[in-house]
Amino acid sequence: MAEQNDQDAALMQKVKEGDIAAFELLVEKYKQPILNLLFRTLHDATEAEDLAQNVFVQVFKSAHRYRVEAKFSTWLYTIARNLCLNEIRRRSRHPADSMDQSQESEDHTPRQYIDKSNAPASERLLQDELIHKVEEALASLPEKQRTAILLFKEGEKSYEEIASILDLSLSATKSLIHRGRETLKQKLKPYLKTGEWNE
Amino acid sequence: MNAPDFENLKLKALQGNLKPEEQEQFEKVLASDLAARSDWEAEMALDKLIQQLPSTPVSSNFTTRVLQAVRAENAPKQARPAASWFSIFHWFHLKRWLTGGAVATCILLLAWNQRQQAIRNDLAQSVVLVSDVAARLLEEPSGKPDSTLEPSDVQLLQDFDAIYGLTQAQDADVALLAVLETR
Repeated sequence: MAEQNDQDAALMQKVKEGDIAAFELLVEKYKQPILNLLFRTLHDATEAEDLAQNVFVQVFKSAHRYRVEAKFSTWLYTIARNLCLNEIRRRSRHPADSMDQSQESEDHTPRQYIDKSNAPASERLLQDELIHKVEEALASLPEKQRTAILLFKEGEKSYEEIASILDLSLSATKSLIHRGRETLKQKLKPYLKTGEWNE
Repeated sequence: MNAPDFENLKLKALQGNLKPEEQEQFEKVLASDLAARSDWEAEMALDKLIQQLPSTPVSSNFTTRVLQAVRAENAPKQARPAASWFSIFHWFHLKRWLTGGAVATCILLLAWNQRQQAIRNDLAQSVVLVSDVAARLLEEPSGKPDSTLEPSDVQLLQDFDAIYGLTQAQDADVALLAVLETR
């Protein structure tokens, strides 16, 4: 883990000097976890991707402010969360606006997706239903609890790192994760009993 | 082991951060406490559900689009360095001029106000003096000058127009002075 941090820090050092190739490596490495986190907060794949793009642009623009002694992923997730909260605030002020509309004029490159799913239709249906239930349960959590849980499991962050990203104390973070998991366990009780994920 | 201690161990176990002695302690609790065991199993199942949530599809050209955006951000700064420097320089000077102008206007207004105040004070003093003398003259029905009135006051009133005219006088007639001096 420490080695990975050193790698990220070294890449960021190069980004600070304007090295686009180093930046590209960081984008490749972190685009998926960042996009997952943003999607599970915004619930819109297109907006999540646009925001993820903004996160990385912001990382590049703020590279000079990055301190090598700080863990890069913590810094990155903090930027992602702040931009995400700004977007939620913007949405609440202008509910009809889509972030995509504001970007359309400057972003002419269409998105290209690769369809990876090849499971039989019946399995996919069951799987989709379970995914929907879990996503629904996650979405019902308060933003901080949800982010903490996602960082905890998906982002594999330590409690200290999550505390830093959420700007909370260590004990408050632990309590947040505990409460969030308790709620999820209650909501997903039937699925936890059967215990199987249909793949 | 009390509940908070177990919760603490559970949180550590979820991250796989238990030390060997903690691991042993944790397993002991799970073996002896059915409720704790069932809770731990639910935690593991929940973990599995969260971890197996599918990743959000990322467009295959995501990185390209990010790099394009970054280049676009940088482009205006690199393409028109002179223009941007000029605008900063221009704005800096404009700001200085505006600030200087505002300060100068304030100073001028203050000075003008002071001058007006001084004129008003002089005028008020003159009015007080004249009304004082006039009042004393009116108090004498005989028409004789007031005994308390000093000769200089009377003289001042008699010569008021001439004295006032002197303050409005133009420059001395140099030619006339020269003629007078030769005589």
